[in-house]
Amino acid sequence: MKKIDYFDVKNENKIFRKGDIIVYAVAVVIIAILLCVFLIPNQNKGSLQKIEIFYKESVVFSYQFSSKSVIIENTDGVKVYTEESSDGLVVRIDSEKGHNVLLIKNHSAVMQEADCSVYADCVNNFGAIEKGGDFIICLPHELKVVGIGEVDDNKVQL
Amino acid sequence: MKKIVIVLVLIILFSAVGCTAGDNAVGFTEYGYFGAVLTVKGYCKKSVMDEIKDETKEFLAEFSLKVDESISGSDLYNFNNAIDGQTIEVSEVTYKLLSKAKDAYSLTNGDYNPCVYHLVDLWGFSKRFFTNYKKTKVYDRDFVDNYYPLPDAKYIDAFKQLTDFSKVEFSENNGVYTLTKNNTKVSLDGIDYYLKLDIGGIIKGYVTDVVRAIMVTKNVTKGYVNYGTSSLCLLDNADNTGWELTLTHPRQSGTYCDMRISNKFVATSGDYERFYDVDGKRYSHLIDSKTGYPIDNGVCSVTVFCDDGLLSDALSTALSVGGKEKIKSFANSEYAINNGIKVVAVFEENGELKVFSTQEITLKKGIEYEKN
Repeated sequence: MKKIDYFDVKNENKIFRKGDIIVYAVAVVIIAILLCVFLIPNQNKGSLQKIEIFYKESVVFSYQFSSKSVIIENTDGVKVYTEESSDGLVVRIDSEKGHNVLLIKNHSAVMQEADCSVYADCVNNFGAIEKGGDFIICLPHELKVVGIGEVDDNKVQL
Repeated sequence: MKKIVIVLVLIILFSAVGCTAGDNAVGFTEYGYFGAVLTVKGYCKKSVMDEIKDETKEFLAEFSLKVDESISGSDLYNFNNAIDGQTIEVSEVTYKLLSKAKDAYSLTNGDYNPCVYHLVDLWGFSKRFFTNYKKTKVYDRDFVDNYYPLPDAKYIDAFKQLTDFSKVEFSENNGVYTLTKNNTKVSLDGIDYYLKLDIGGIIKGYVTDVVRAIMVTKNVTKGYVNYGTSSLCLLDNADNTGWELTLTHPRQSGTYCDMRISNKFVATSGDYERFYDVDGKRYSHLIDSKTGYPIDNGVCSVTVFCDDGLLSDALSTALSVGGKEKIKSFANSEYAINNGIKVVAVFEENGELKVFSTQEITLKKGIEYEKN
């Protein structure tokens, strides 16, 4: 008959047996990860990552805020030029339809000038693009400027 | 004990995965109809949103062919180009839309008035001024820098007479719908002018009604429809806590208030949407059919919250024309209270902006409620 060791019996009744430590440790790690992912607010919500300009539904220009990189797509009927200014990056869009000027600052973009009409809705009626999902449309010039980034799903402005 | 912990962790893991496996926000944007941008957002499967998009596009295409007065052959085009006594047959959709316009006209005692076509054109706010404007009418002026010179008073007086909606005869017989304008003619300098309709004041609200209905038939209960950033239909938000809605400040960039709200139609009319300044005075696209002039009553912005899209649109237009006292008395009226209609307005007095509201809102810094 095997002698039952005093320490074996003691081990069996303890809450923390060796193997159990691993299970509890894994459980704590999983819960910690889940907490980090779901409960701590996303600090990047609504931040602007990229600006894209569409002429007649094709991308003609894109700008990445983090790398400050500019990509211009050569498209028939439209020319895009950029120049640095003290206010930010000035983007000029000249198409058969007309002329628009977009200003890209550190965290936003705004239509500065346009000759679409005297009222220039794209300049006056659209606010600045400040977060993902914001856009500016110049209907007469078939131009669309879109902000790409984390969209703050719950906000609406009228 | 170990088993309990394992089970607990599994439950937490699965429920976390379950939470994120819900529908994400999807949506689409549509431009080019009635000169405004339509944005639809919903919490549903992408395939469902694609169906909503297709049905919405189909509706807008068919609808604009009937009611866009700039499209040759549309019901509105035909009616607007008709002379007195000429009976114009229209589609049922057009007839019903204009009947609702008539109801809004009666309800607001003419403050909402679709018969402002000639005045809107005279003051430089019709569609042709937003594309390549060229002088074509005898009363057209050249733009000077940023403003449009004021029109000749004789035209204001003449076109003011073209705003009697009761002179439009509605007739329905065996599924045939017709409209006839009677005795509307005004002659000036050898040119005859007849009553013409401008449905700009209700069209966006009506479209949000229809798109909402499309979403409801697809069982989408969370999302919104935003048309031209002046007409909005809010459904529920993602977690049923209410959308964070902000209202555009009428005199500076940004917003002037915010609130939590769901399941309402919201419409705003403001003198900051389309305007020009002449000698320090603002002339906006909101025309008072009784004076023939753009509003000049200290109202900068009116937002109406209501359970009907077309009505919210018509009311915001009407109240901006009605003025401060009418806004307050309407907002506190039995009609508004019984119909769950709330109003927020911004008035300008002695250079200061003041807010009036029957809707629960939080004002941002720099603007105050008016003292009663």
